[in-house]
Amino acid sequence: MSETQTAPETKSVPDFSANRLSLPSNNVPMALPDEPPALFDRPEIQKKLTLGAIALVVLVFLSGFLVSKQPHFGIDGIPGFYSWFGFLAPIGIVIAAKLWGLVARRNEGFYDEPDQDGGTKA
Amino acid sequence: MSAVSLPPALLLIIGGLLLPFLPARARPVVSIMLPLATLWAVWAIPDGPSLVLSFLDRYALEPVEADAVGRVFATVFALAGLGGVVFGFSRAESKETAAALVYCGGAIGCCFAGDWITLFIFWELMALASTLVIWSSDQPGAAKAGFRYILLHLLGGVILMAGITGQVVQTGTTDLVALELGSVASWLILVGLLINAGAPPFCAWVADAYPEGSVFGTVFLSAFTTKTAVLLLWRAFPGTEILIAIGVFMVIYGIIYALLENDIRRLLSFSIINQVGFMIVGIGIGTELALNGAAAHAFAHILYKAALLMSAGSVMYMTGGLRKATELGGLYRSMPITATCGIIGALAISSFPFTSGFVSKTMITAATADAHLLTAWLFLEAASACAFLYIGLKFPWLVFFGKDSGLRPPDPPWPMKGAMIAMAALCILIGLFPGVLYSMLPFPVDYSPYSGAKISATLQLLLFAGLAFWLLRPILRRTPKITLDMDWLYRKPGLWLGKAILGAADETKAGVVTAGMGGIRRLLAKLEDTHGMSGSLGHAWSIGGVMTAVFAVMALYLLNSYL
Repeated sequence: MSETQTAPETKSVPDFSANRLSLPSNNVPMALPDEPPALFDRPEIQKKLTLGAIALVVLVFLSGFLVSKQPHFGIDGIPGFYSWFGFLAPIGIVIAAKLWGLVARRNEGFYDEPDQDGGTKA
Repeated sequence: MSAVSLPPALLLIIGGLLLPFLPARARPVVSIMLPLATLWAVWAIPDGPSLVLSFLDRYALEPVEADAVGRVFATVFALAGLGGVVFGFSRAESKETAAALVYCGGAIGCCFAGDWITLFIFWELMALASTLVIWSSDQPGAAKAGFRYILLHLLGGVILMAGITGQVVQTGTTDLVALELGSVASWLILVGLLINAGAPPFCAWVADAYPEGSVFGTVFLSAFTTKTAVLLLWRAFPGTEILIAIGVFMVIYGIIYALLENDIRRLLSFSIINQVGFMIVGIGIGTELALNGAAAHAFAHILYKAALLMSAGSVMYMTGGLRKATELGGLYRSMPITATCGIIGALAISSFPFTSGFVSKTMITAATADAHLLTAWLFLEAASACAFLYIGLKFPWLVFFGKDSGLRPPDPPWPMKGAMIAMAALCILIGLFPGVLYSMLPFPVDYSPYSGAKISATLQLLLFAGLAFWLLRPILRRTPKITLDMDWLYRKPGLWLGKAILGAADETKAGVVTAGMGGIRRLLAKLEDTHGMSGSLGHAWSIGGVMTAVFAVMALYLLNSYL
């Protein structure tokens, strides 16, 4: 075994610390206070990216009117179908997900909490 | 019988089992040689049954029966195994690698199984080996998650075995052929296969178990089990209509859960179900284009999923185990290669043009349109748009861009980086040269993904979904919460029920013991009356009494012999 023990961990059961040997854990380099702004933090780059993205979306929208279409259903023959469908469908699904989230979201430790919902103790 | 007619899977299975007994220094080399040799064997075996054994003197087993679709899956399984071993090269001497190789071997064995019995053996081997992979993990939740995982897969295995037994009795043959969905046996087989595919109501195990694998183990886990089930559905139930509905459900389920998820590896696990849903829809449609699409999509999916999980795994590895989106962000600054590979994988899973996902997924949506299944088609297109939103954008955004977490971990060491780059490169290469993938497919391909209309349609769908994402950013805020799933049933009410049953059993046992002990005590008291020290039969007799009795018996005897 070439691995070396790193963090002195307290022994718990079950002990998986032996498997964690190769992780360079607890020593993740952090940002320096005087760090220069990274590529996508620079305002001029951000501006270019935003303009590029807007141009791309417009071009792609227009491309839908240039290509020859062979619609299989009536609905996909509507002008710009893929654009508005691509825009609306995710919104619909996000709303569905949010509604489901209202019902089914729990704290992360939900399954570790013992019998909080009135379970019987053996 | 030449050497190549042995199952190619045996190389990995025997090799994996022997690996822990080899000298530690030889293990990494051997563990890389094994998938390479298997890849060769997969292409060396001829089509058709090349090994036939007799079973119970009545049935013929065909452990090796190669065909095109089996070879497509076996090839990508071997590639995933190779990628996984290289990615985990730094600890290739561990038991995890050995288990993962056996797991990979089990999957490849399923690809070439020509009969149900052989299939079942490899199928169960996969369940066992994959559980060992989960249990080799360093994640604190791995022990329990692995236990839930094996229980569910053993249940699936039992249902499958029951179906196989019925099928063999009814048809008198063990041949693995396409089934008509009618008999109880065929339904049981379908259910057994669907459990492994992560179909409803058994979706939860994927996102429960896979993220608990180690950084390295999850790469293996994501590749084999669900896609082996896809292959078997492909073989046994092509054109079975109910699969379309099941597939559409999985597609939508995967998205909704991924949208709500905070843990990046659970998010990727939900997207497995979403993508497997596409394949199952293809199988349900059952036309040549749809079946080709399902096989091609499985191939592409395994590779981009490996790229994504390697990217997420590298982040975890270099940050000391962080996997919550709320703890990450802005990592592109110090992990450019990991970010690039993650973005390529994310684009491929979103089926962006010129990636592998585009050339495979559009086959399935095109087949849906050809079959005039409007509802299914709308759901698949909506899901494609959403897939871009929740994973093509959300995963890179939360991890590599977005809010700066202040963490500056470097890219991972070389073997990990190399495997990740190779997987990302395959995603692009298949996207640019789809002919290579298409030529492997079981049916001749009369389909071209790169027409102006298709590219325009896909780009419109994806970019406008991106626009929606941009506008919806505020409500897509990440929260450190989990979403309940079907596994709630056996993790909460099931737990209470189990505890209640155990409690009742304990009480019953106590009652039985009390009652039984009382009875025994009463019996002993009665016996004491007659047989005890003072009982009529048990107490000591006086010499005189005994002598009188002996005298009386002898007198009777004497009298008897005179009469």
